[in-house]
Amino acid sequence: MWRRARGADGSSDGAAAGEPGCEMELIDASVTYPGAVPVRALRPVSVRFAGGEMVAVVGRSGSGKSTLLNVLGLLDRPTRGRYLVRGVDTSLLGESGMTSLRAREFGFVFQSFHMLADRTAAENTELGLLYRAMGAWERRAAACDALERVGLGHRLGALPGTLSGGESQRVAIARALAQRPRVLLCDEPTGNLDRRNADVVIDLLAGLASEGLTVVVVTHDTQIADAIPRCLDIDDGVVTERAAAGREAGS
Amino acid sequence: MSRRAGRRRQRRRAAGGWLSRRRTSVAALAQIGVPPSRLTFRDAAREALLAVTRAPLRTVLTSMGTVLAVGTAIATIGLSNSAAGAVSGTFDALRATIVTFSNNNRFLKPPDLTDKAEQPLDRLNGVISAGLIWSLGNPGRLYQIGRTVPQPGQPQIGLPVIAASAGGLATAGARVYTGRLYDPGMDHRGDHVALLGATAARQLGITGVGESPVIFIGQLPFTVIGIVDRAPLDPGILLGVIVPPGAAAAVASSFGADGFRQIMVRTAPGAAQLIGRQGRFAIDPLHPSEISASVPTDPSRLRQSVNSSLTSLLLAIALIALGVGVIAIANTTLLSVIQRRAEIGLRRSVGAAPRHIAVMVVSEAVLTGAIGGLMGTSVGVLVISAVCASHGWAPVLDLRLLVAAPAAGAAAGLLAGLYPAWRASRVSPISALQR
Repeated sequence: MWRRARGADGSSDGAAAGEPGCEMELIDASVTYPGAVPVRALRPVSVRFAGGEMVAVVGRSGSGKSTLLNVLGLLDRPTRGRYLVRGVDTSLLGESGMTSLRAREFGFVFQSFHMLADRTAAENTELGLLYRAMGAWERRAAACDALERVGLGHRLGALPGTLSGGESQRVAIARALAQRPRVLLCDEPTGNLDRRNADVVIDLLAGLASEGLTVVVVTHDTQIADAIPRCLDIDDGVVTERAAAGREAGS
Repeated sequence: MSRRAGRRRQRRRAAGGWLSRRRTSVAALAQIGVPPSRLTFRDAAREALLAVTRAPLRTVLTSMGTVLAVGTAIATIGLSNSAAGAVSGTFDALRATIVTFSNNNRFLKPPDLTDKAEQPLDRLNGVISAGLIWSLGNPGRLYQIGRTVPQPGQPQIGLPVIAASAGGLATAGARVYTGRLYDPGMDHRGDHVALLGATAARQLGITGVGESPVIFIGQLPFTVIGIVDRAPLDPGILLGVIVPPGAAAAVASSFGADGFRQIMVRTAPGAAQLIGRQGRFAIDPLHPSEISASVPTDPSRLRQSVNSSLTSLLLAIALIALGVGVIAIANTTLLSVIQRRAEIGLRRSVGAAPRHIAVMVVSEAVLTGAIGGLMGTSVGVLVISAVCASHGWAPVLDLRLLVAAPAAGAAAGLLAGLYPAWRASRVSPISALQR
């Protein structure tokens, strides 16, 4: 019993760096939005994501990229099929179970940063830790660590209005990292950035993946997709694995 | 079959199977080391404080309805209390501090109320002044008064004659505009001096006392030493001729009628009831039951009866005002929930459960309401102070109101926050996060 508890603790202890094994798995999962004409946003798909993998999801707008990301991030449920996160069938989870798992498992990075305008960079970074009943100092320390990791340790007290686009996105990544997630889900993280800042952000994400974080990047930018080892194409809700052979050896 | 149907039903009705589903969730998540999301009270309070203080303009605008409501309520209650206090203050000073003693048995026994009774009364605690003052003859009796001895061809005027000791004049608040009041010495010597009420003086054509005018009551000459133009507590004396009791005896023996002797007492505010009970013993310790006291209505009982009807009216006004405040907060909170959809979605994505969102919205509304209540209380107190200062009233406000008003604001906020909180907790994170 004691042994098992310790084992569970050990496995939950964040990182699990380089641990081979399945992080998330979609099994025949599909999403259909009901309506007069049902919209089949995601056709049945079975796909596995391994721990520490960096994956690009590429498609035009309206192709179902965001739907896939929402399902992966537990923001939405598949209409049919199953979605397993570390072996747990998410269809068994209630709303609060989904919330708890989402908070511990996934960090989100959005195209439009989604900063709270009246909170400093540090306060924005510690937002997710609020829902973990942590002490205020502990929380602030974790936020500072995360900002150090993205190279913004000197801008703790900056308000979002004074941050550049690249800095904002790095704060958003820090916010996700502060949660110590196992998976980083990025929805067009470079969509609002110029080329130079986009490169900084992608390099940062690649670095995190090499540290053992699973990183899923949704993008329509083929140049970025080409730099990512594994690539899923999505078109009109149909997901296809891009053959590794047909890709230049990126990065 | 039945198990599959059960699973399907369970999936369809998330609310129905909430408890069992939650238990399954917690167990499954514990296996992979995922604890449930938690928000401590302290963190919720800190978040609400941050949200409210970082956007002060929004807070002020949101709470304006409550500020107005609570301010109006406080100002109305405080002003009406202060006004009532001021009114009853005047009332006390003019009416509720006058006690009149008279002899029950004046038909059986000769009049025995003399100015000797003034001294024991003066010694009672709470008595400001006391003195004899009565109309000579039966009430309404007029005496023929002229500038000369009555003789054919000389005009005579019918006027009442009032007897008053020096103490009685003081008690009635008599003031002369010319000449002087008589003193106890003149009274005891039985000097034939008289004061004229301002009205009587006009009728007699006497405007000043510089030449010591003389009037005749019947055959009796009296020197006019002063003209009284003010006697706020017994204005009736302005209509007649006022003589000291010593001289009144001469008038009474000449006309065969004394009168219903009375001692008028002016007491300190609030002492009238007590003096009414004690005075009879002070005047005649052996036969107190023969003295009757006329005491004003107990002012506190009077004020209570006025206040209870006022209070229910004011309570209604305050409640209506607070209702307006609730609607105002509810409106702006609902609006801000719509404006902050993205923030709500973000919080949901980083681990806030729907109930945490609801708590956030409610606690912000409560805090906003409490701040509105505080500001409204301040505004109300300022208004009361200003109005009271300009009217010269003493501001009267129940201190408990100063605590109750912000609490009422917070309660209004709670009430106002419930529906927006429910709406906010139902915001789907997906739709909120879409750009």
